[in-house]
Amino acid sequence: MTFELFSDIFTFRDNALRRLDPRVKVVVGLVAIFAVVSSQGVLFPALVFSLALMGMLLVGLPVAFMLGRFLAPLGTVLILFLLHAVLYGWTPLFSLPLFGQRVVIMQEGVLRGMHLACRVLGGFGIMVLLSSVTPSHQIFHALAYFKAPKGWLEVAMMMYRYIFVILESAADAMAAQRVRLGYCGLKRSLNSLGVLSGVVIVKSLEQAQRTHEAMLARGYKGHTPFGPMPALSPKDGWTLGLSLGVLIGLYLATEGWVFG
Amino acid sequence: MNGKNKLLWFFLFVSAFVFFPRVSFAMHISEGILPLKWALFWFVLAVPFLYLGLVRLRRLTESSSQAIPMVGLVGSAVFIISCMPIPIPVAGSCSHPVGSGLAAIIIGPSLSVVVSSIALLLQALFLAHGGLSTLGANIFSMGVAGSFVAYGVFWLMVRVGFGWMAAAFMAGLLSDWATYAVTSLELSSALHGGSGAFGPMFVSILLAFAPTQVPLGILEGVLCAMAYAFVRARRFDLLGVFEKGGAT
Repeated sequence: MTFELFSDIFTFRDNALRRLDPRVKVVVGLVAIFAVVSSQGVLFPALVFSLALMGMLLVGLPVAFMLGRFLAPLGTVLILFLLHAVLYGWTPLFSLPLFGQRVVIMQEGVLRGMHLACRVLGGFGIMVLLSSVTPSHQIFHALAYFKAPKGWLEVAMMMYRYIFVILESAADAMAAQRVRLGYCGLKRSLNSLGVLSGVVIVKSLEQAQRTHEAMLARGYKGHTPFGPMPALSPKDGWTLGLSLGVLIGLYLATEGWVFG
Repeated sequence: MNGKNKLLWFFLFVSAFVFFPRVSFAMHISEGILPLKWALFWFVLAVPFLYLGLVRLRRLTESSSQAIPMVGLVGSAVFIISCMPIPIPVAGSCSHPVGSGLAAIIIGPSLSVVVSSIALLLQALFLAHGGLSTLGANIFSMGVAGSFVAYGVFWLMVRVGFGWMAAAFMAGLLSDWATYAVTSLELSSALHGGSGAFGPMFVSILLAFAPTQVPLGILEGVLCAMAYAFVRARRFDLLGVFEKGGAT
């Protein structure tokens, strides 16, 4: 079963970014991402990507993991870059022979494609870094602090926790199906996947009943209380101010420079 | 752009999608693809549906404290099902079902939007599928379009007198295709880059996804029908908790 690695396995390593207050990381991450997608030039997203890449290397994320994470968006970026290069623009840059025809590459399209590529890399870099230095429970805690709806958070925490429990049952059932040659040919594969999906849902419903009884026994009243978050330490406050200052400064300098 | 160029970029684009199997994950719009105004636009469209789902969740919770674990656990199950690789015979690669159609017919469309929003956030953060700025667009295509189309088709077909197996099949099929169509619309509206290019961009994205998504939709329909049949045969009684609490 090709279930992939959750990035938050790296959050259990101790490093400076890991020790930062999750509220600081969530705010800085979101500001950086929305600044990247609002940028009009390539320089700001490229700088953000470079900073994120440095952060990822500093906290010791394996290069293979980073490449794996960036493979899917890079594939999409490559295709959209090609599309823009030939579809968009009015100034021919050069032409390439393809199956007896000539494909004209447009200057404006290439610039637009590069901008898109930088935006994707910048945004993705921040997202991967954020999830690699912030455990999920801290992200949920920060979201609770920022007044995310209680019901949504409750379901989110429940879902996150039980994904791994149900995954084990699903993996066991799939292994049993494989042993019985359940994945030989499309028809049998589909039949096995259908049964497996049903098994997963039934197991999840039965688990929900057991979980609910266990929660009731521990005094569950429809929501799990979050403990209060401590006030930001001076170090976290400085980090927040400095990070936002750097981001805003870079944004103004690069976007102004591009259009100035 | 001349006619020859149009033909060639179209060929290039379609072949690129076919030859890059990783792009079969492309029902998730990646982080950074949408510019800010489009990212916010899809967030604004998705929020009322999410609110509707949260209201429904609150009503269910008021009638039974079992609702949260039930919705959470079904959400986990659908998250796992949506990660299962399905072999695509035409594209020669594996892809993943959307899962929101199955969720919608089991827990209802508005709760399915809530579950989808959480699944999409977890996938974006911890699996790098999708994105945070594109979360609104992804919730709208997979959560809202996928869930409401699936539930509407299922409800209508059962009312008209079709068997629930056929209804579940069509719900899975059409939820996948609705997600695919709305994702194409979201991408083309944000990326067409000027007057006149929206149409070609929309058609090219639709056609580019087609080798994966057309067979995937049919296979998702089969998967949805079989999974629903299994739940119905074994523990249909457990779904009773989702009947309480009023409207969808």
